[in-house]
Amino acid sequence: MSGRQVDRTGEPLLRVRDLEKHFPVQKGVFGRAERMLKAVDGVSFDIYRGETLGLVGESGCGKSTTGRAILRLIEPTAGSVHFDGIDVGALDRQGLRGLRRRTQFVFQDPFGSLNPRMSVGAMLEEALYVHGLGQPDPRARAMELLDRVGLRPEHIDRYPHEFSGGQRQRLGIARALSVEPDLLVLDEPVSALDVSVQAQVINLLVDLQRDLGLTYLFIAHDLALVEHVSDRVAVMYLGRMVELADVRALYQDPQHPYTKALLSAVPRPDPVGREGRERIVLKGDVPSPLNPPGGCPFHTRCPHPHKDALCSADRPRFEGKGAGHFAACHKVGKGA
Amino acid sequence: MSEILLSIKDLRTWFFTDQGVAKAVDGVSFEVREGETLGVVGESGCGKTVTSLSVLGLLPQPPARIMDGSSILFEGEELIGADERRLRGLRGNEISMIFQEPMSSLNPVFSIGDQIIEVLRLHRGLDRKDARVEAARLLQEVGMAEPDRRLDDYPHQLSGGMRQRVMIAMALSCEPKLLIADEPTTALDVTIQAQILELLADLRGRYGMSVLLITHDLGVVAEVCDRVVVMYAGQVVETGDVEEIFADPQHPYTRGLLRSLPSLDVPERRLSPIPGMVPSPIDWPQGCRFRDRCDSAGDGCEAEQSLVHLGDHRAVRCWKAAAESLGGAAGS
Amino acid sequence: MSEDGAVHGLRRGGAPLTAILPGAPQLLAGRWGAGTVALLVWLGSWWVLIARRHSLADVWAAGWDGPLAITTLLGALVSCWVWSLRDTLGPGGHRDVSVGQWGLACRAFSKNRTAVVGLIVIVGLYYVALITPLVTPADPSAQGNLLTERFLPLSAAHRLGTDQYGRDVLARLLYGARISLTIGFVAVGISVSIGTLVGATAGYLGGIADAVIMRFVDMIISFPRLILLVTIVAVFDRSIFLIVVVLGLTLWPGTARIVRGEVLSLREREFVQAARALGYSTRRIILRHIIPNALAPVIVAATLGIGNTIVLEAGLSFLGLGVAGTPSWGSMVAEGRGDLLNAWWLATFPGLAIVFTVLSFNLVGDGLRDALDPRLRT
Repeated sequence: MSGRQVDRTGEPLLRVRDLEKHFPVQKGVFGRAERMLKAVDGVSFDIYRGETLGLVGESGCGKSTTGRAILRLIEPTAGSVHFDGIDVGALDRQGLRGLRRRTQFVFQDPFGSLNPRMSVGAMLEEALYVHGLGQPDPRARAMELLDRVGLRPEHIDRYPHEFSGGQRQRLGIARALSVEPDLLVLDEPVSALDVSVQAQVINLLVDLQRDLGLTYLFIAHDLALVEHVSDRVAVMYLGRMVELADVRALYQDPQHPYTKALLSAVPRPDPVGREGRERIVLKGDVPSPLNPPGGCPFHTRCPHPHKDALCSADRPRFEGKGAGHFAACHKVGKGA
Repeated sequence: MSEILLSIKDLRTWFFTDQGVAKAVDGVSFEVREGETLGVVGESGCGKTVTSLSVLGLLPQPPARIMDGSSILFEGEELIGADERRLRGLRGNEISMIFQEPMSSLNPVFSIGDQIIEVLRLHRGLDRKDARVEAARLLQEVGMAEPDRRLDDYPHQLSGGMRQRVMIAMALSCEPKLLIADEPTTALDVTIQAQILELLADLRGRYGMSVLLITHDLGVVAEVCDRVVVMYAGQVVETGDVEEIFADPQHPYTRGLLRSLPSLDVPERRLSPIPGMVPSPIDWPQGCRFRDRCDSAGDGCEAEQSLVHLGDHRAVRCWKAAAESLGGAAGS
Repeated sequence: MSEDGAVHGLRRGGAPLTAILPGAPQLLAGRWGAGTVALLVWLGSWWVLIARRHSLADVWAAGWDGPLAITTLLGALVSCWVWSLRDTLGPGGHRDVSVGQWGLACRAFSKNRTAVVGLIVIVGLYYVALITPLVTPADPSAQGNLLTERFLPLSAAHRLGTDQYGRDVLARLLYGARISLTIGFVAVGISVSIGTLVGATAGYLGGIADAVIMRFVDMIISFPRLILLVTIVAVFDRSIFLIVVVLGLTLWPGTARIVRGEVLSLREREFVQAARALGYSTRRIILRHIIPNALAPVIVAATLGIGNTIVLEAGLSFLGLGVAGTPSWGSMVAEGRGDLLNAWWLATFPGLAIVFTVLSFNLVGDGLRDALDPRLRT
């Protein structure tokens, strides 16, 4: 929620078109894949310089896979990704290394994302060394990075196990910042942390974006959190994007029935209003991505009153519904 | 006012480890009344789960030890020091528990039917045939479609939400008076969480049981609880009715927690975190345990704080808040 | 805690004491593991040196192992002294300094009494095996007078008695230790090196390479090792070299499986993904990020493996397939078992030696397993 202005007139920093990532699940005798799990199934979006795009959805919707596939941490099955005009899919080993300097990833698990056998200094200096940065004094630069993320520079010789969860997450951010990237993909960066610490890390991320002009792809399942940090928000369901809009438009005037249900399901810290609030409780579970329903993937749980045969037969296109508001639903009129 | 079902008084559960004595629960007192949902809320390491496990006598001793002077009364009966047979009789019968991770609470090698039937035969003495019919009824009760067929499913064939429903069905099998739910929806997605919370509220009404809901999520507390106990560093720092706690939090920690929460309804870009981090149970701070992180700490806070009652339902472990509140009340 | 006080006390009064009795200050400060080792090695070495002061020249002249023994002895003396002095005088308060995972593992290990005892026994065994020519009371293959010196019971001249050829059992036991310990160490060294390499390759490459390598590993495992050994020994000769190589070449699949499993799970860990996201080369990721984290189970397996190999070698020797010419513990048990009733010492002492050595390795292995288990701390 910004109150800030992001310039969306020029070229986007990141342009993703029809991205797909399919995982083979059961291997045949001769290594031939028999079933495909369509983790990401045709996702398109842009991120402009300096903005934060929030990517929300429930577990298994493909949001993390999307984040990894655009950085080619896993190879996408199909689709195109352009970063600052560069075709990411066409990069060779050398080109990919260049991309790694400009795009970084922050992981969810503050315990698993740091090498337990490396001191903080060794970890940061290694990143600087590999990219020829931090000369002439990489150690000083590493200490500067620690200071930048709100840690004490004299902790440079400590090991990850000596830090708390929130501090480790700061270390992960420092490591990502070490190569001076333009784009950070933040994959559930605070969901493993306690509420009071969560807010500390979120504020750090907001400050860093302001000071360093970073661009964020913020992946999370916590809708309230995403609202706080994002300029625009995209909602995913079963590997597909169902809605994308400006944060204010999405939260105040959601178009897609899934987004509406998702928003109404979030427990609010407001015991007085709980009786009067209209709540949509969806029936059943998310279908298996191995065997997604035909037509609109949401039609099996959709509470829309005018749901009809078209919904179960025809997959709705993800299209503009006016004023930068995109949705994939037959029942949402254009210009809504 | 309804009867008191469970009364915990000055519960101290300490862990004796190589690193020192971890005072995980250090003087906790609260009550659960008949038919109410009491939320125990706090961050990791505050002692909320250890409290609930102490009630059921489920902690391995050693390293855990429930210290002398602690008391847990269930319907007037002292549970601390009660023999294991009596506790076994209570568990599952009068008091049931559901956990955060339903996958690890279910045995993967037996079908869910077998597991529910086992509970029914053990606690209610039903024969196999009746138990199966009853098991199907219970699954129906917790909102599972085609309960007869589901009985033959194995835990891994079910989704997280389904497994939690099975756990709830097992917990309900003896119509317990008290259901302890330890982070029952934390591992679930929000749409599934909404289903489970709705189910719990519905069942509580139909079975007339009390629910002790342990969670870190203030949103969940606000949705389903009648009263709230806020825990910090092994102690209760504030109790009160849910509306009061959210509308007028007294303890600086409760205030800080609520402030640090991003809210859907009042979005604002900067959050207000509580500075610092949760202290270690091996080395709680002297005096007020929240002093280091508190924005209104000052003289008088270096003394050990006691829980001051502000009214029938309200108590706070902060002399400043208590003085203001009581002083304000006296002045008006 | 009291530990800090002990460290400070050590620094104040330790230096003069350490100059004459290395290990004593550490022992007084409660670090009994390191202290005992240093003190025992120090005192024992001096005792050997003084007791054998007249024959040092002879030992030095005797082949390759004489000079080795004397050098080892002097080296041990010097390193005991230097270590203890540096430990007492060096930068104190080292408890405050950050320690990595290895340091934590050392601390955890040193708290495990039985494992530390095991380690002391092992260190002592290897030390004695290295300086055998200095401590042996007799030539292990020198036969005594067959009429008067056969089956002598324990006495001052022959502390562990003599065998049916009048040879000194203690001398044979000491030389036998060399065979057992060498075979255990070298064979496991070979198998761990091969196993780590093969396992890491299979685990990191994955896919078809992984499948092919692991099927080959399965094949090796399913091959009856004993039959292979019997065949090879029957066709070729019974040299220590051959036996070590055959054992080493047949024991690696176990390590390979452990390493592969470890690498497979490490490859998916977020810190390895982070390394990839930072554009690190595959070589750097394997060497700096994967292998150091995969080593813990390998070390445990290797330690336990040495014990197993010693038993295996003893079994081979017992069956008459062991090293020819030199005494080994297994062959001593085999030779002595016929005379167990009239000369119990022949089979008993080598048998006990095997039991205690293997037990020590297993104790250390278990201690390492606990100390290196990352689940015990975060």
